[in-house]
Amino acid sequence: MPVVKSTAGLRHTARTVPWHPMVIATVVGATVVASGHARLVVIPTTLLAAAAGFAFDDPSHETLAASPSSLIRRRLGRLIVVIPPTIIVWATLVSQGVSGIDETLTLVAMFAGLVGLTLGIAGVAAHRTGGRGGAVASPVLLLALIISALFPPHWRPLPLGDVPGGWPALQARWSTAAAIGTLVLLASCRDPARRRLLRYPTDRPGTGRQHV
Amino acid sequence: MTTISKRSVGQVTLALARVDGRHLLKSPLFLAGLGIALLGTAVFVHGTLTDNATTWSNDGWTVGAGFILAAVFAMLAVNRASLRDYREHTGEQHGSLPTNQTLRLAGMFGAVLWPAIVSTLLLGVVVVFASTQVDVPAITIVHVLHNAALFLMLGSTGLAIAAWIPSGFAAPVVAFALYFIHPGEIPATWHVIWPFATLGTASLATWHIVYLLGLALLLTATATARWERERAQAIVFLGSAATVAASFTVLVIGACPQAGPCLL
Repeated sequence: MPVVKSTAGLRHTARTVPWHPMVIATVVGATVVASGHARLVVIPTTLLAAAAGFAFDDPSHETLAASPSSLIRRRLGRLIVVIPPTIIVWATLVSQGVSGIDETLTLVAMFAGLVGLTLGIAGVAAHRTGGRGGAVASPVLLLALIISALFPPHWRPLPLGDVPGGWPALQARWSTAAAIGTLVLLASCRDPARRRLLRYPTDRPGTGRQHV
Repeated sequence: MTTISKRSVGQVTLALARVDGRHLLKSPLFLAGLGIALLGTAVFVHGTLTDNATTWSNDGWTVGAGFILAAVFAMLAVNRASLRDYREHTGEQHGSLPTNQTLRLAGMFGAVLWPAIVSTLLLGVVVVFASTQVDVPAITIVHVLHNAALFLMLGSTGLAIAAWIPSGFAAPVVAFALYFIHPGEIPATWHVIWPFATLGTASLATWHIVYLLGLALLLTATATARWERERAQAIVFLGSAATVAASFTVLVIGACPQAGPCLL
């Protein structure tokens, strides 16, 4: 079985993806950018990242769970469909008010961090919501940003403004967030029917706790 | 379809409000908001216990900001609860019940009272504790009531969004906007339009509560207009619109742009 779906397969996947969050994020983001407030560039960035969390929302999640196509392969197909247009829309919106390579790199790292975190949250939430983690990801992302803002700037994990250390510190923190989000996403992509990574001592045949 | 008698409409609405209110109180979103409010409170309490220079006017904002964010999360909880039929595709099933959509929406509006009451009581306890540690101005009592009105207004916003834009993403967009966008550091008279505006005189703060309650009713009437447009709804809509217009006029005329006694 090929790792990546064929073009026809991707076309079918695209039809099952809920696109309305991206449309809402694009319209609101464009309105904010058109208002001309440079400091508000974080709004389209956050909204588009939050909209990407709906990529895994799949009404046929339960039905497809029993198909030979693995969870990671199905999610990869959805990401291939959703992420490129998200990046294009974000780059188009944000490029209006960015100056200098440092600021550009920081915004790229921030976008990658927010998308990574959102997808990680959506990936985990999809297990508990029957494949509809997108609506959970946005409030959790907001909560994470609020809790981050409670920390002093020196320790703030998800900084939306200046922190000691300037651009390199911002880039490092958001890159770390992107890496953590990606790891969480990968961990959530393990097929639920597979053997657990961590096993309890009682997980042995005959105890009723084994996972095949 | 059978219909319920007018006399039992109130009882059904109360019953729905009771059930949905309990659900809202147990909602992870509302509990997350309450957690933020408690974090803001903890920052202030830590300050009062460790730093003698802590004052309510300078440091109490962490408490207020925490409860404002709790109201934003309550809006998300109400919106998620209101989207139940849309999410689970049970609209047709519930449509066969004697209660119509307007009645269920009224029940959900009543349900918002539960988180509003719980959070306001909690804020009241915090203010009473703060008054034992630092000097708390008397107007804070009005600000505590303002918190309840804010919960009702944002809860109605969640209802209206669910009615007109049935998407799990619309309310989070509003929540992000409320978090990121603020009128600005320099006080201006028009800031009274902002639901989070805190006014420094008792009469203006009371008018702001009236303004928020008017908005809450206006948004609920707007939400019900999605399904039914009857005379009673039109009366509520026009009455609440008049209340909002009148209170806004009083606020704009009465509020002065300087920070301090008028607009905090």
